[in-house]
Amino acid sequence: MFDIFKLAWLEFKKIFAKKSTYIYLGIMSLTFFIIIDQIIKVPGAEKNVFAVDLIFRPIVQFVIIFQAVTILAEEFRFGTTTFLLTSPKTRTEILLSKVLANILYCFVLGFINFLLLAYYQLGIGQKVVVEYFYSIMTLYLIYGWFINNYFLFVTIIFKSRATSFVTGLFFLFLFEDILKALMNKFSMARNFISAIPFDNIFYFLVNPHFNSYKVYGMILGGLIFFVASAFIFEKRDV
Amino acid sequence: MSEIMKVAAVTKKFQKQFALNNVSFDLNEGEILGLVGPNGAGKTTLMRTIVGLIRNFDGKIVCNVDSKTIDKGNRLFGCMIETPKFYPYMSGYQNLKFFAAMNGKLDRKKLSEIITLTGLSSAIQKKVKTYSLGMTQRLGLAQAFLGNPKLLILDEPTNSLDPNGVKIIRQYLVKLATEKKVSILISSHTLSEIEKICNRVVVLKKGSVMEILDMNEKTVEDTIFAFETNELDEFVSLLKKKNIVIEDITDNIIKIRLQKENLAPFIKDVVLKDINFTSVYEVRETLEEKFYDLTGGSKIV
Repeated sequence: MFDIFKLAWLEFKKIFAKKSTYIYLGIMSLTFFIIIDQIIKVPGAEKNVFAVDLIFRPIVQFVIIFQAVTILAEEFRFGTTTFLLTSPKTRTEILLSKVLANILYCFVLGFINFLLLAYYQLGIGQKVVVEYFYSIMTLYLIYGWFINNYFLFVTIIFKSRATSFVTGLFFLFLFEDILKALMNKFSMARNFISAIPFDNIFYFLVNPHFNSYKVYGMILGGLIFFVASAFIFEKRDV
Repeated sequence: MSEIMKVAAVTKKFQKQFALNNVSFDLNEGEILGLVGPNGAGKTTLMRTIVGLIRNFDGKIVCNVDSKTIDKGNRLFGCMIETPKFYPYMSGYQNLKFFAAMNGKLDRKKLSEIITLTGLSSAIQKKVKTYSLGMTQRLGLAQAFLGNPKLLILDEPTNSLDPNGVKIIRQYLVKLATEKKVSILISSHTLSEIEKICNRVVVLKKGSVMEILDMNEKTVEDTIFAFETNELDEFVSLLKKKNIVIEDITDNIIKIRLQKENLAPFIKDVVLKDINFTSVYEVRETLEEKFYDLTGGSKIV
């Protein structure tokens, strides 16, 4: 078990060894500051608790998705899969370490989200801030778990970063519709899926609804995508 | 010598075409086994299958390395398949450190030893994207040597290396095999290089094993001797009288097949017949000649 975390830490360090990571974070911050600067100029807007979330999170979710696709697609692009997959680690361990590294990356973004919130929401008491910290981190954990596993699955199928990014987003938007179609077609699926509302996953980070069905649904969905990814990856010729 | 790896009836198809067809051989401890064949013979596919990159195939590949002999931090095999690729945004050292850490233990002393051996000391801190093909190849070899592997799978390891680099790597491989009993499977298009270091050579063609040549084998068959003479007619009539097989006549060189112990009496006969010759020497069939025979004379390797 310790090995997995060590491996995830290696992967995490690899993310921050790239210049592009800092460029994405830079662009993200710059976009945020430009928008918030305009909003703050509107009288009475500076103390809007949700201002940060409404501006920051739509930007950050694309950064998360892009990173979710990049972490594996890049190995195919650079051709480093040969060395990676001939190491003593199993393919499932390698995949899991990548998911964990990306979740750590989500935590970093979540922490930035929290700092911005703490900075811009003046007047909030310490207790409220701590509460916000936990809720933000939980939100990023659940979103990160689902999104990373989902895009890992897509990347394993398509290998290319651009194709995986576009196709993954397309199906993510259609997730609800696909499930509804399934529900209408199969009575068994109708009973099963109606218990887990998957809807609006794409917007989950921007507009989170913390009901237990949704949270368990996303955890279970992430797990299903991970198992499917590991199954395909273990069997596949590279 | 104990058997380290057994490849038994390995078959791999890409669509309807056989990439590997019933390939079988074994690799012993401390042995260097060469893998040669024309382009598309299946050398790289075979190596990719052995290291586990290709999972869907028929047959069996068994590694007999006792897991107890592999200490923590060491690994079963090191490999370099095709042109090695690394993370371009990291330095050579960071790349090696990353792969060493993936093996479980980072031995800095061993790491610097390998860096020196592969001649990368001056470039190791530079980003990989600035590396030439030869330097990337050296880094690939360094990666393969990490973790004291018991088995090395090297696909054209000396490609793009300068002559000095080729010599150093060749010597190191022989040292690993003889002193540390590392088993090595190596493919190369440079047949003279394979001939110099390998104990046995597997010749592949269109995915099938044509022959496994033992490079240490002392043949008991007839040897070919070449005589250089200006009196060809007299020489040929003497050979016919003696029922000696003529292999080839080119210009004033005549090649004959003869058992070694019959050479001296034959030379005596030539001298007694007063036939002049300027030189006589043994003609050894090189791996290159054997390769052309086995693969149908294709010179493109």
